[in-house]
Amino acid sequence: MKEEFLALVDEHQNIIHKVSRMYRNTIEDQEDLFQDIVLQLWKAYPNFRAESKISAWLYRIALNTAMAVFRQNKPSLEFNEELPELTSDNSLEAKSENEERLYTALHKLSLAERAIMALYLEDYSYAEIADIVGISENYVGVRINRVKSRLKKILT
Amino acid sequence: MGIDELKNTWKSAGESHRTSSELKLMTELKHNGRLKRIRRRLLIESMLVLAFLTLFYTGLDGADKPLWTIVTLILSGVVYIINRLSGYHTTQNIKPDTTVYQMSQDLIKQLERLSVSSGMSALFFGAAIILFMTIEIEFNTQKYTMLAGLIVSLFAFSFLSYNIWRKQISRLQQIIHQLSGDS
Repeated sequence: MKEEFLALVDEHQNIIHKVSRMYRNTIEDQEDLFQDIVLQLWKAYPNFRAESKISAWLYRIALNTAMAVFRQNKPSLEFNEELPELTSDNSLEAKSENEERLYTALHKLSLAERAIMALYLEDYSYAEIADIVGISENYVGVRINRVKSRLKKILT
Repeated sequence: MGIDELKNTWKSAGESHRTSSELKLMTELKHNGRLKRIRRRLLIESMLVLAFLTLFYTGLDGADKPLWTIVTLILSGVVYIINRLSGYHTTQNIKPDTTVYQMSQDLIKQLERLSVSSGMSALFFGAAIILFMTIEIEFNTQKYTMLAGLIVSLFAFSFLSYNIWRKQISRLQQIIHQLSGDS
């Protein structure tokens, strides 16, 4: 069972990485959260139903772990308050700058808004987001519109 | 940056550089860095409580004190340690296989119970120490002043123990408010 689990996590580890980076400021804290998420995934794996979407299950556990595991706020050493300039070329450097810009913007949102936005950016339906977050589908729509406006303001 | 561009950036973000053997280690409790630090802190705290109890017994003529005060003191120290272990157990046994809203609500309930029991166990431990120190002592003004100081410290210690969990509770309450639109 462990081999099967490790293969699944290996394939989707970028999700764990994204959630860790979205919820923690320093590299050390991100590493701790990454480890915590993998541990919680392993504990929850026996109850995972094969018919469920693996990435949705992974997001659910990862987001809940990020919210539940308390970490005293430390001054951010990794994130600039200033958003880097957006660049439109496709080089690796440009990709990294755009990522930095996105994470900096996400860090300005509340914890719950980050969860909703991450799922929205991953193209989950309102019903799927509602199922992971635990609010009604209609309210997901309302929250997404509000967060999109906030993000737009942050990014301009 | 338009929404489509944000989506593309998000989807292509994230690294995948952990090897299977690194991931395998992460599934084991004993290799978890954060839990390892908590366990080390708990061990140090337990050793300190034990050293404290021994010091009180030998340094304050424990053998001459009534047996029930010694039993109360040891019992209160044990209850304090058990409570700290229970805190560790609660924080590492979250139930993440539910909605964010439900998980936050469930964890708040658990942490509120823990917050009260932490305050109570610290109060019990502190009260047992004061009782042990003051029993069969003839009081004068100076000793009454010292006793008042000890009682104030006891309440401060109990409040701090109660408050350890309050920050986490308040953070989870904020998440619930954010999700339900109360803020």
